[in-house]
Amino acid sequence: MGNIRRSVKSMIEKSKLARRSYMCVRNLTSEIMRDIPLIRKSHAVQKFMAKLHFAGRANHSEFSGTKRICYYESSKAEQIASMLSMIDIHIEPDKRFQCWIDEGLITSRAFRIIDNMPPNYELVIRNSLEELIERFDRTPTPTAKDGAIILRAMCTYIDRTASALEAAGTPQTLHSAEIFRNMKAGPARTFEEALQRILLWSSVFWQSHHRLIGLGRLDKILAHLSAGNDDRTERVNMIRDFCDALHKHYGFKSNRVSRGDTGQIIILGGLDPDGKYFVNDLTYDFITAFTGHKIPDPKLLLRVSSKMPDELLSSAVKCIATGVGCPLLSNDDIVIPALEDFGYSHEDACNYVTSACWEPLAYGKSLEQNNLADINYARVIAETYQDKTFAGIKDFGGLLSLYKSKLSAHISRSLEYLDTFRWEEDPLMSMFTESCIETGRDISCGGAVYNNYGLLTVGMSNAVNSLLNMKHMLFGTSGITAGQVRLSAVENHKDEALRAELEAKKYFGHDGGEVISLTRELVEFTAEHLKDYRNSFGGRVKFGLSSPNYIELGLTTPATLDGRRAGQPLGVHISNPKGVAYTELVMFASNLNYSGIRSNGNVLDYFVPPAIINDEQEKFLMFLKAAIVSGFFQMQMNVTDSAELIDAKKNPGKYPDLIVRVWGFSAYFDELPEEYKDVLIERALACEGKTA
Amino acid sequence: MSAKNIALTNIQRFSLHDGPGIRTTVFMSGCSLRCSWCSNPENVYSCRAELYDPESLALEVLKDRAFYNPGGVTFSGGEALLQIDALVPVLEILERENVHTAVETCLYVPPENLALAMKHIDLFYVDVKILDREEASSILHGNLDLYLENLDALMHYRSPEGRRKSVVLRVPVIGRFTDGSKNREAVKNLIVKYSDGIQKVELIKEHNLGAGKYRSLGLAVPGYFGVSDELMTDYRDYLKEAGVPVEICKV
Repeated sequence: MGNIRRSVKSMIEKSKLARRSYMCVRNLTSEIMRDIPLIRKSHAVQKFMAKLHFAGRANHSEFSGTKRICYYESSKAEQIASMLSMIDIHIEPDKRFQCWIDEGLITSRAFRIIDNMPPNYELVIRNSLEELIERFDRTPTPTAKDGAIILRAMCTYIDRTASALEAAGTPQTLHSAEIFRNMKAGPARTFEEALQRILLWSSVFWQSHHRLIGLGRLDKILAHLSAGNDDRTERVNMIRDFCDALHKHYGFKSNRVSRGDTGQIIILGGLDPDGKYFVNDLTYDFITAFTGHKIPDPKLLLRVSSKMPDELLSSAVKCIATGVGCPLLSNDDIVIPALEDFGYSHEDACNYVTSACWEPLAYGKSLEQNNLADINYARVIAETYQDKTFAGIKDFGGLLSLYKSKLSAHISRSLEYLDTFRWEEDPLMSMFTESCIETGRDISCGGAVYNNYGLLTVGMSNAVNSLLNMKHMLFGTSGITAGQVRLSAVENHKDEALRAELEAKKYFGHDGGEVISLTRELVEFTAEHLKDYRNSFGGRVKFGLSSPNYIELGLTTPATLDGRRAGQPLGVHISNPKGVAYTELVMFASNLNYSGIRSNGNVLDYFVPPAIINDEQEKFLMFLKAAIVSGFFQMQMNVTDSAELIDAKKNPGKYPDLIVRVWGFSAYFDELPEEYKDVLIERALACEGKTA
Repeated sequence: MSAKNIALTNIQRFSLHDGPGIRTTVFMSGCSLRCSWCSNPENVYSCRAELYDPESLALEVLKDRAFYNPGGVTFSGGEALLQIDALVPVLEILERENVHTAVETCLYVPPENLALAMKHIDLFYVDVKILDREEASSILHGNLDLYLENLDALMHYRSPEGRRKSVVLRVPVIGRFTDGSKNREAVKNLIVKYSDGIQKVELIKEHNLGAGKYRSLGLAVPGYFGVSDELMTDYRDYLKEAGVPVEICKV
């Protein structure tokens, strides 16, 4: 045990020194605990784990509460029950919604937690806790038994909360107390009650260290509570209050090096299984509530389709135009067939939601850990030119073969890494996941209907630009040799003239046949190497051309043959190089294949100057409608320009409300690390056809 | 394979200000005038034109076919109609594809060029610059009578089905060149004369957005003398009296 302590302690120090993100620390935790099942019950080690939790977290200012640890004693369900009894309740008497997280209370765990998805809260909106307890008591499975333990503890927690609200004694708190008490006794009776239930359960997920907890299809699952309520203004205000409540503990919920990546995503609209587009008053009310509401979290994703009403798309554009960073648009006409091809039933494909950013999954039926590792196409370029045979390559076919052999090895390593994951037993998530209760199998043991994994990819644009540069430079008439390129690249582009030449030509994002064909070829190669993978639950792995890690992985990626130096950021999703029109970018993206295992999020990402989206809103709408028909997978945009971003970087505090889309999340520009600001400025300039 | 006989300097996709909807604008090389305030000097003075054959150009502008609803292709310049012979096969392909076409022209072109254009192009943006014969010659290096004859032909054109061409007049308001009261009055009279055939009039305020292009071409940047916003709104209101819609374009 002493050795384990020393190793954990050393990792704590390392993580502090390296200022690693929470995700990294979490992976380390899994690494340490993987082969040591017996230590689960050791309080000493659990304390170390708790320290690790604090050491690795992003800085945040809302930290509150005395540090306490809720230990694992007899079962995970009992531990969660115990956690519920330990939470310090924090009432805000003047608020419509009551929502808190006891940030000092740590619940120990041994393995990686299943999260990064929205639980389907319909379970607790449509049912009372007493009904659910009865149902679970009647179901003779261990997961039902665990569920009942948690629900009984929830009833006690709700009683505590209601008593605290009653003690506060204001009309608002008495009203809230009544709402809390009804959670035990009956289904949600009003829209307000349903929102309060979501807030409560969401906070329990966060409290038990699930991260990136989304909100789900709220216009769909709350539809029955919106009928007949004609006071739309009041409802919009209520949604804003709901968002403000979710936005509390922003720092605690933020996942990485910067504030904002919380995964609190609300999914709206979408095609139904009968082929009709689903939309209701709530869809519009959510968009209205977000329009101009300058908080970067939570956020919206709108499922779009050629069958959607123009009016809804217009509302979305108006919302985007206010610079709130959302909604992200996900194209059902492409996504749903891709998910069916992946193996989802038609109904489940039509009922998809996403992980924190954009990775699709079947709602309430999935393990779907979609963001487990990255394939780095750019690193493989470096491995290619570092290979001794590179200098002797005679033609592009030879170069591509060498690159593919390196890529093959890289993908194999990623797949091996997937097999190292072990999951924390999760009776809470199991309760919200179809089939876990009935079959008696916890979600961590493959109890969900779908049990798949996901990989993300970075650096596709760097790889494609590098390969096409070599094609035209080495095997054309330039006279430059592979040896010269290699020599310069291994020394981080020592030859500046050559580097500038490599950087000058950008292919990725154009809609020419050559670049589309090469990109498709690399996607197909990847798909071919991933298609036979099966995890321990029999699930498959999917991948997509988007990843949050373009800066982090850029730091450790050597120079690439597109003129990028070692350590510089990698290309961002599917985005446009300097001088490429939006229509061309869309045509490029629409020519890629996203079906089946290629469906793990493929985001087209660009900047729109405010003048275009504000002054030419009708034409921008026409553009989006045509783009949907053309067949992009997903799309997000930043509504700002380089001048504003440059000024904001120079003058922190001048634009306190400036929200930018970073990867799948939005954040206040002022709060971003400098390197993220620089990438955004560079991309805004490129979009405007300018050079940094 | 057809000859590469179309000279152009740029193809700009996702153009929002050169006609209805989302358009692709083709900037043709070469011009018949020498307006000192020109914002596209690369199309007048540059030797760096790209050459296309008609099929390749048609393929290029059809890449955004999916976005032309409404929308289409606009030929700009320079003076696009100087190359109308070479453009006709492109226009025929676009007609077959049912793609809307437009041209931005100064109309200082041979009448037979205009006659060909009227057969194939849907919408004409026609510049109205200087309407004094002497000044047109000395400042623009153009023959005003040719311009007026062409304009008259355009306004009286009827297709075999009896349809007119859509015509939008574009009036550059340039300090000391086109903003004088005499010229403003002549412009108004011209609009009155053809008011029943003009879709709208667009006033474009002088700007120096082409200054960088002059510098990169090694040319002297033109002197701009300025036009007030007040003059622009007064001018707009004055032209509205001719009974056609008038708007001030954002630059």
